[in-house]
Amino acid sequence: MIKTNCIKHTQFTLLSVLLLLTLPCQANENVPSEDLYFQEMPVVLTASRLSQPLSEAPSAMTVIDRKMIKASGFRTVPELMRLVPGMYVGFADANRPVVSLHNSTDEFAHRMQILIDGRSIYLPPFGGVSWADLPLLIEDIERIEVVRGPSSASHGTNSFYGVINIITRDALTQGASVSVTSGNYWVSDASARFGKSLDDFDYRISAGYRSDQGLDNSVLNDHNNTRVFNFRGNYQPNVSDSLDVQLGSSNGVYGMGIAGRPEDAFRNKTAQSNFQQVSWLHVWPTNDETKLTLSHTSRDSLDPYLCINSDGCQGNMGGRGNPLNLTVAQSFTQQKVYSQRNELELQNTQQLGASNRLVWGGGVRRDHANYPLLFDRSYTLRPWQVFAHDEWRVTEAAVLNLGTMFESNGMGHKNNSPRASFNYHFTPQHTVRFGISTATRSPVMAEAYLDANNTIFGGAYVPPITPLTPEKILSKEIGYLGEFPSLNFSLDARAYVNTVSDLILVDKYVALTAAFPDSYKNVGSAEFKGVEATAKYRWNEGHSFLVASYAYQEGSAGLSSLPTQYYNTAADPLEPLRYTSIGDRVRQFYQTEYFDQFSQTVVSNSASLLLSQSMGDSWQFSAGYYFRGKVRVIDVSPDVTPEYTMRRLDLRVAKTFKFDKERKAEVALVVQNATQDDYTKYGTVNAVAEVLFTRRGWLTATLNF
Amino acid sequence: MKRYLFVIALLLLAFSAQAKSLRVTVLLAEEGASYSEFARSFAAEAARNNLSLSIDQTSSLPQETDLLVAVGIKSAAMALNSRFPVLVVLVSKAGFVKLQHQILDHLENNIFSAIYLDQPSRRQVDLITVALPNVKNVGLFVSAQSADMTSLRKAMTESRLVLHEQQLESDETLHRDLHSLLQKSEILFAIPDAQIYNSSTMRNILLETYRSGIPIIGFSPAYVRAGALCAVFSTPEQIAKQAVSQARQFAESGRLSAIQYPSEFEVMVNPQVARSLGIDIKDAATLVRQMNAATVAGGRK
Repeated sequence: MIKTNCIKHTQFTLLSVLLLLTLPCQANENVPSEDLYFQEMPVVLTASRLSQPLSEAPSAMTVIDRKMIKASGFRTVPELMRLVPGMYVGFADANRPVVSLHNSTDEFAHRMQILIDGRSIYLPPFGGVSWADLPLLIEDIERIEVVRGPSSASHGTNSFYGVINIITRDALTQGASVSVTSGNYWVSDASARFGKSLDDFDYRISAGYRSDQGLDNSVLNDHNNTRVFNFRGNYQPNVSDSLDVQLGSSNGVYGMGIAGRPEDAFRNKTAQSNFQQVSWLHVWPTNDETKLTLSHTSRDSLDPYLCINSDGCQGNMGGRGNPLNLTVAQSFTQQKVYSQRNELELQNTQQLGASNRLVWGGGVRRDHANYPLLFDRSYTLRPWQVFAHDEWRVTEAAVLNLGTMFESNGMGHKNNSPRASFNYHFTPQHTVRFGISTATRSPVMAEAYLDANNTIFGGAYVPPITPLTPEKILSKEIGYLGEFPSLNFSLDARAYVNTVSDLILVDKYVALTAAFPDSYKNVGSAEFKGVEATAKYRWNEGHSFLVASYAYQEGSAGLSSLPTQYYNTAADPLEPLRYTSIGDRVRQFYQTEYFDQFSQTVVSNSASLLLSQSMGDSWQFSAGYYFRGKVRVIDVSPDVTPEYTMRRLDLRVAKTFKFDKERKAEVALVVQNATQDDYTKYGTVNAVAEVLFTRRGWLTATLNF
Repeated sequence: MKRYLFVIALLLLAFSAQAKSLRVTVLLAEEGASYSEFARSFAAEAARNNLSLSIDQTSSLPQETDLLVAVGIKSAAMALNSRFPVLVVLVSKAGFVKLQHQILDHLENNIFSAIYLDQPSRRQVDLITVALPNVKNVGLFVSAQSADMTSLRKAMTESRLVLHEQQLESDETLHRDLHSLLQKSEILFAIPDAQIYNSSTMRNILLETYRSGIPIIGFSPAYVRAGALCAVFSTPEQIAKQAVSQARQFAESGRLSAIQYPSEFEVMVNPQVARSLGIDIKDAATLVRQMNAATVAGGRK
C-alpha cells in the first residue's frame, strides 16, 4: 500500500515526517500498490525445516508428532520411545531411564545418537544421555524423528544403532499457557509458556518443573525433581537471513540408593545442565542454504555420599576387599563430576540441477570431562568430521541417496561411514527401499580412560592395554511404504540384518595385580536381524487415529578376538577350586555372562498400539497398549530376575472447555498400567530388578490464553 | 530478380520505419527490479518485432510523445494527468480502479488502457483444479482492505469448490483467525492483502499452515520460494510482450484495446514443500499446458 509506505517512512525520522507532510503522498492515499506482487518474502519453509516424507527417507524412520505425544499421556521423552518399534525402554531406577535399539549392555546405553535441534546431547564421559535432567519440557517438542538404523551420513558421529532427533517448537509459538499436573506417587509437574511474535523477532520462553516419587521408595530412593528453563528467539533482519538463539538449563535433585545396601546408601544427588546454541541460516537466491551452528552444553553433578569401598561401607574390615582397613566413614566420599561440549558445525544444502540435492558440511567439537575417582585426570578430545549426502532423483519414481561421513574421533582414529539407499516408487503411493548403511562408534571416555581403584563400578579398572578401535556396524535393509488414501491407511514395514564388529566389552583381568583390574577391549561381534512394521489408520478428518507397531528381532554374538587373560594357565587366585586357571575363569565369564545370555538381551517381540478418538469438539479419549517380551540387559547376571513380559495399558481422557475464541482450558486424566498388570524392571541386583511398575495416575489442567 | 526484390523490400522497410516511427516513452516514476526488467524487455521485444518505436525512458513526464507506457501505479498517477495516450502496466487491478476513481473528475486524457498484474479469477481457480484435483475446501483469508472477491467467488462456485472465508478481525487475532480457517480448509488461497500477508506475518502463516499439513497457493514467485506450494503469475517480460503488441496496434490504428488481464502466464511449484506435505503435484510446464487446455475447453462451452 502506498499509504502504508508513507506511514512506515514517518516512523524513521522526524525530518521525514515533516517532508512527507508536504509531499503529494496523500494524493494517492489508499491506492493499493503493486508492491505485493513483487515483494520478497522470508524463506520460511527452508529445506532444513521441511520434514522428509517417509517414502523418500534413506533410512527407516518413526515420527512421533504432537498429537501422538498428547494422546500417549507420557510425561517424559524416554517413555515416548515405547512408540518406536523395537526400542528398548528400561529403568535402572525411575530417574535413570535406559533407551536403546536392539539391546543395551548396561545402563549407559551408548550406541545411539541423541540430538535436540541438531545439538548432540550424547554425553562424552559415558555416552548415552542423562534423560532425567534433560533441559527440555515435553510441551516444547514439535516432533521426534527416530532413525532406526545407522545414519552417520546424515546425523553425524555415533549414529550407530539409530538416532533420536528431537525437534523443538519454533520460536514462533504464540500465546501463553500454564499447566499443572498432580497425581499419586507424588507426581507433580507444572509449566508456564509464553510466546510472542514481533516485527522481525519471535521468541518463546518456558519454565517448569517435573517431579515424582519414583517407583517404590521402600526399596529405591529414586524420587526426582527437575526445574527446567528454556528460551528460543529468532531474529530475521531480512528475508534471507535468520538467527536462531536457544538457551536452557535444568537443575534437579535425584534420589539414589537401595534399601538394605549400605554401599548404596539413600542420598540425594544434584545435577545441573546448561546449553546455549546460536544458529545462523542464510538462504541464497537459488533457495540453497547455509547454516552455521555454534553450541555449548555443560553438565555437572554432585553425589554427596558415594561408596568407594563396598566392604568398608558395609563395615567389613580387612580381607581382600578392604586391605587398608577403611572405616565406614572413610569408605564414603563425595564426587563432583563435570563435562562439557563445544561444537561448531557448517551445513550447506544445495540444489544441483533439477534432480540432485547435495547436503555437505563439517564440524569441529571439543569434549571435556572431569570425573575424579573414575579418571586419573580430566580429558579433552577434539574430534572433527566432514560429511556429504546427495539425494539424486534418477527418474520421477527412483530416488538414490548416497552419502558418507569422514571423521577423526580425537582418539587417533579416522573413520569413513558411507551409506547408500535406493527408493523406488512403483506408484506415488507404493515405495520399496533398499539400503546399506554403515557407522562407527568411537569408544566413550569411560571405555578408554577408566582408571578406578575403587568399587564404584564393582571393582578396579585400568585403561586398556591394547588401544581401542571404534566399533563398526553394517546394516542392510529392505523396506516397503504403502499409502492407501481411500482407506485412510498407511503401512511402513522393513526387514534388516545388522552386523556389528569390534564390539567393545569388558576385558576381564587385564592384570594380575592385587586388585585384579578389569578393562575394555574390542572382543565381540554381533548380529541383529528382524522385521518391523507400523500401520496407521486415520478417521474423523484426521482428528482420530490408530498407530500400531510391531517388531520381531533376534540377536547373537561371539568373541571376535580374545580377552587379555584368555590363555593364562596360572591357577585362579580367587576360586582355584571352581576354575582350573585364570584363562578358564575368563573363558567361563564370557560364555555364561555374555554369549549364553546374548539372545535374551534382545527383545524378541514388542508391540505398541496408540488409539486416539475425538468425540465432538470437547472430548478426547486415548489408549496406549504396550507389549514387550522378556528381556535381560547384558550386565544382569543369570541369577538375577530378568524383565518379564510387559503388558501395559495406559488411558487418557481429556475435556476441553472453550471460554471464548482466545481462551480455552483442558482437563485430562491419565492412568498408566490401568489393568494393574505389574511388571519387573532392569536391575543388576534382585532387590532392584523386582521392583514392580504399578498403576499410577494423574490429573493435568492446562489453560491457554 | 531475387536481388531486386530484396533491395525493394529493404527500401520499403526503411521507408515504413521512417514514416510510422512511433515515439514511445516508458515512464518509470519508481525504481525497482521488476520495473526496470519490464523496460528492458519492452525495448528488446520491440526490437525483436522490428517495430519502429523510438523508445525513451524517463522518470518524469516528457515534453512530447506519442504513447506513454506508465510502469507501476505511481507512474500511472503521473501519466493519467498528462495529455498523452497512456498504457498502464504492472499495476494491480485494485490499485488501478481506485486511481481511476480518484482522478476521474479531472482526467484530461481519454485514450488510456492498462494491463493488470492480477490473474483472471478463472485462471486462478484453474490452477487449483488442475494442480490439486481432489481439493474441495478452499480457505480464503480476507480483511477489510481486501479487494473485491466477487469474481473469484463466482469462479470457485463454477468449479464446484467450497469457499471458506475468514475475516481478519484485527492484527492481534491473526493467529487465532487463521487457526479457525485452517480447521475447515484443505488449502489456503493467498491474496494480495498486506494487512494479512506481509513479510512479518508470513512466517506465522507459513509455519501454521505447514504444521496443519495445509498448502498455500500464492500469487508471486516470492511466495513459492518462501514456502507456498505453487502460484500462477505473469513476469514483467510476459507483460512487456503484451504491451509491445498493444503499442504495435496503437501504431497501426491509433487506438488502444480495452483493459486486459495478462495473456501469458507462468506457474511455479515448490517440489520440496509438495513432497514434504505428501502432495503429488505435476511439474510447472504440465500445469501450464493443462490450464491452457482448461481455458480452451471452458471457452468452447
